[in-house]
Amino acid sequence: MKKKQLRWLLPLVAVPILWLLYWGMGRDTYVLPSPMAGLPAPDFELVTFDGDTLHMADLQGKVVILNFWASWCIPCRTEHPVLVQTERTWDDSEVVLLGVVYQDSRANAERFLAEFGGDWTHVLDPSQRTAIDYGVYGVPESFFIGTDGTISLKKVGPVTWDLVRYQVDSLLAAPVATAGAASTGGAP
Amino acid sequence: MLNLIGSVSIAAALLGALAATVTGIVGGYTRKPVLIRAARYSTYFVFFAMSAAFIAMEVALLTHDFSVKYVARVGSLETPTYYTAISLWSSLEGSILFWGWILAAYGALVAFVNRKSDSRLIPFAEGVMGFVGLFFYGLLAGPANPFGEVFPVPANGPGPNPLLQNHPLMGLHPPMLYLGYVGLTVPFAFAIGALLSGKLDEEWIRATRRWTVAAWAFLSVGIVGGAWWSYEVLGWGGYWAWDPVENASFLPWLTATAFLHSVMVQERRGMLKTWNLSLIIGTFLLVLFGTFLTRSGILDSVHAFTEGMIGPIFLAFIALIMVLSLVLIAWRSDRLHAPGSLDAVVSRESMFILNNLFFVAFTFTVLLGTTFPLIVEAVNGNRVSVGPPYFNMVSIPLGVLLLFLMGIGPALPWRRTSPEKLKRTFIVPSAVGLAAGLLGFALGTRSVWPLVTFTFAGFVSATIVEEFRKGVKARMRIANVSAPVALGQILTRNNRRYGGYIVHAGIVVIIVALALSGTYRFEREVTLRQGELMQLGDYGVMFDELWAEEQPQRFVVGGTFSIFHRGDPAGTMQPSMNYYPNSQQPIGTPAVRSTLKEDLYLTLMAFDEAQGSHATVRAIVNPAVPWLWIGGMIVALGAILAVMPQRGSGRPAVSATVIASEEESAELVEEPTAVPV
Amino acid sequence: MSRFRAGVLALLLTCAIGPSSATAQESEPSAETTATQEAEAPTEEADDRSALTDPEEEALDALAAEVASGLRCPVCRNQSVVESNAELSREMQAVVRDRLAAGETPEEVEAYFVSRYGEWILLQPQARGINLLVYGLPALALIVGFFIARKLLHKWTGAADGAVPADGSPDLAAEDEQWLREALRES
Repeated sequence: MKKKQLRWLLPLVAVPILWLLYWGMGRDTYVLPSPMAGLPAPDFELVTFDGDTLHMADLQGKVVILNFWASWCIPCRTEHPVLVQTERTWDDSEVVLLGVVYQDSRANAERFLAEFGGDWTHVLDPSQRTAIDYGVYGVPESFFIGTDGTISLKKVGPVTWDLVRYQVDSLLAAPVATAGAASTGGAP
Repeated sequence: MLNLIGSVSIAAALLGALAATVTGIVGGYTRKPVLIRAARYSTYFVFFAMSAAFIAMEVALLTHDFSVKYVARVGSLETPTYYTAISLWSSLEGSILFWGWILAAYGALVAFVNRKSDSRLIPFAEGVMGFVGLFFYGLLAGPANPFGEVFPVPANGPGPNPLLQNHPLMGLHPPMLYLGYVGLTVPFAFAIGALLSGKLDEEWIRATRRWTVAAWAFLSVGIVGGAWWSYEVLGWGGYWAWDPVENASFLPWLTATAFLHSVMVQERRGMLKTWNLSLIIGTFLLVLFGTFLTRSGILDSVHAFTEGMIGPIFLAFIALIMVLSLVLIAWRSDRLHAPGSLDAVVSRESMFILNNLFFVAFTFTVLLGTTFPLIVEAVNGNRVSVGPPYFNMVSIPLGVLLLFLMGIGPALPWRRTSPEKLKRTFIVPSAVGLAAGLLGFALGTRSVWPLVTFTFAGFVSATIVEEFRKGVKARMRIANVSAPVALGQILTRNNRRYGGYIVHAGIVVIIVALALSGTYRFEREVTLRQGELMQLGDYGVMFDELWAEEQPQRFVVGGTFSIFHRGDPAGTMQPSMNYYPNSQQPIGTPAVRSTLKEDLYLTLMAFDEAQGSHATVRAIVNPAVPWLWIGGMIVALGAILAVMPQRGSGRPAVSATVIASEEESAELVEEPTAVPV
Repeated sequence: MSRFRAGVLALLLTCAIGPSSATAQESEPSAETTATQEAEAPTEEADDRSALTDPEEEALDALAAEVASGLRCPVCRNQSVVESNAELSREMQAVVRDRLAAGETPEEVEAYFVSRYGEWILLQPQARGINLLVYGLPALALIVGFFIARKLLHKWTGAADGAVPADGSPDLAAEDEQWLREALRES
């Protein structure tokens, strides 16, 4: 009989929906997992401010932090001191910090660096092809890449010093990168 | 000062709603005249209190009183007056205030219209509307208080969201949507009133029929208006993106449409009582769900305003309404049992049942698609998207099925029919439908769904014309009048039925326009140097120059393009980009050149900032789009006709002995007895 | 063009004093930098995509637009790449076009974006695993609903085969009239 089924239909559909909505409110729709953790970092060919061409393959054997940023991006300013400290802490022969300038001009980026400091290598990505290749949504986004060229973590939003230290230390300790299960967060 | 007036008014409305709830429900049970009167006056009082709050907010907005929290949030000295006035619904608190005011207005109107009625349902309905009001006024008094004080008082504010101050349609589309949304509270309140009182016959349906049609019409106009707004503002040349918030307005529309049809079966045959109650309760729940979606930011959407505490409170209210309704239905289940009986499977009754099946399946599908990303994420943590390709795939077949039923249903008689009669009814419409399909094929359409759509659209149109022809002919004979007079008479005397047909005609127009614009749209994106011309179909688009203009609230960069139609100059078009101080991205204003056949739609995508020497433009030829808006207007016209009071109402109910003539009686029978509004 | 240049200057001022948002991440440059950037960007695009294109190129454009309409713009909310005029979307569409031009199938292009952005980038979920539910459940609901409706209709018409219940529906008289009308019309 239609009536009997009806009585069950409404709660049957509605209760899971209510639960879902309740659950759904607790999460951030901006945070998206990256499928790239555990995969080899895509190669790129980008030009540094000095005019040199840089490939991903050139950095093999080192821990790489690939940081997409822009001068117009406010959160990048919050993040910048952490990157400065990162650069100071490790030697270039072990850990390479590479800034990729996203949707921005070289002049703007240099003005930013002159103001806030930071003399690690920066490359331009005028076509945004590298950003797309890495599945970048916006800036800042940082990729932690092990000595074997495997991405261990993608961090959306500004990195923290704890996160950087933990990631870099574990990548230096274990040359074969353990694929980060969580692609965001990750600080102990 | 205004803060105080506003806050006090809302507190008063809250108290009034509490009084209406208690006196309405207690008065409904005890039938004590003093309580019934108290419920009515409390309902009036809520309206006055909410009007005071509404006026206080409008005054605060228009006088730029930045000491009021909401004004400090959405106001700015530079915003034009029109957009300042309508910025009431451009952000969360204001839109809830607006919603609450409309709810109060509906309540007062229901109370006023029925002030002399001694129906048992009225105090209950007032009580239920008071109860719903408690929730909204409670929100306004607490977590969504728009009248909070800001200190120190800022000198200026950021202005409303740029997307919402970019087109005059913003003044039309949200109010229509809200009038529709909130209007559906009326049948819901009467349905709950029927359950509470135990008076579960057809009275609650008759008493709310016109309210429901009116709310449905507002909702329809709101949806079409929203599509129009997207088309004129968002700049991608489309009008419907199956965005979660668009879906949220579409879901209650679907169930309300199902309800409008299935109540006719109950009115006529006393069947489907539980079903109709469930449909209207479900519709109201979907209204709340839709409001929740826009207020909670739970799903990605361009329209949502995210806000912390509102979401969980809304959810709790939805759950409460759901539980209370289910308990009530279970409690009254013994009175809801009505033995169903039909004469034949091929009858109008069974078409209504099929209609309901398809509408509910449609609702389920859209609801599933809208919430599916959440489901997947809850189950395995993956993020997926469900967007237009999915929704188009599932909704086209369902839409086409419903279109087909729209031709069959009204042409079938109630109860039963004979095969010969069936043949007679459908032979001409079928031929017309086939002709329409063949015409489409001859004109080059090769895709299946558009061809099927044209065929069914032809079929439905022919049945509608046939219904009108039959009605006019019969009327001419009975009343001995000329055809136009007869047409006028059937439209006014049997407005519900013929208004319904006009609505159907409007829907056919919309569906055909959807099929045409979806199939034949084409576009090009080109960077043009000054004086350079590009071709798109019949059109030539030449880039003349760039211009820039500083306005108080924004900065506009536009391009002037000369348009040629088949080589002849056809004026200029000026798409522009608007830069607002509080927006990261420029907001485009596309330029649209409409003819009845098609639109030419230009969006400025990029320009050479230094010299103004070149501009990138996206040009789209969008066939039949104006017919979407025309169809929407036809729907509105039909609905207005259907809600008009029937001329000569108060006519005695038909008795079996009064059969003036076959058609006249048929016409009288078609209407249920005079409707207590 | 001096009027134009002055205007754009004003624009820069307007945007510079505008409040800046402080979200965790920013997805699009502000208007200010977009404009500057475009000023610096060479204009080869204008020559590259001239107004006169040959049919082959046009077919490629159309296919690229079709594939891009199934991809979600990462920086917008609920818009496809083809609809969005965000910079990233425009470039993504160019990537789609280039990959198609290099001989990839539309499916391969989609797979590429999924491998970089996750399944989220597709506007229509892939028909596998749990996603099958979003395709199967509506069909199931329709079929089950149809059988319930059929059963009910049969039951109800069966009930009416006997005499019309005497206690019948409220507008029995009206119904009888209707029936009479039908009878009269038939004759």
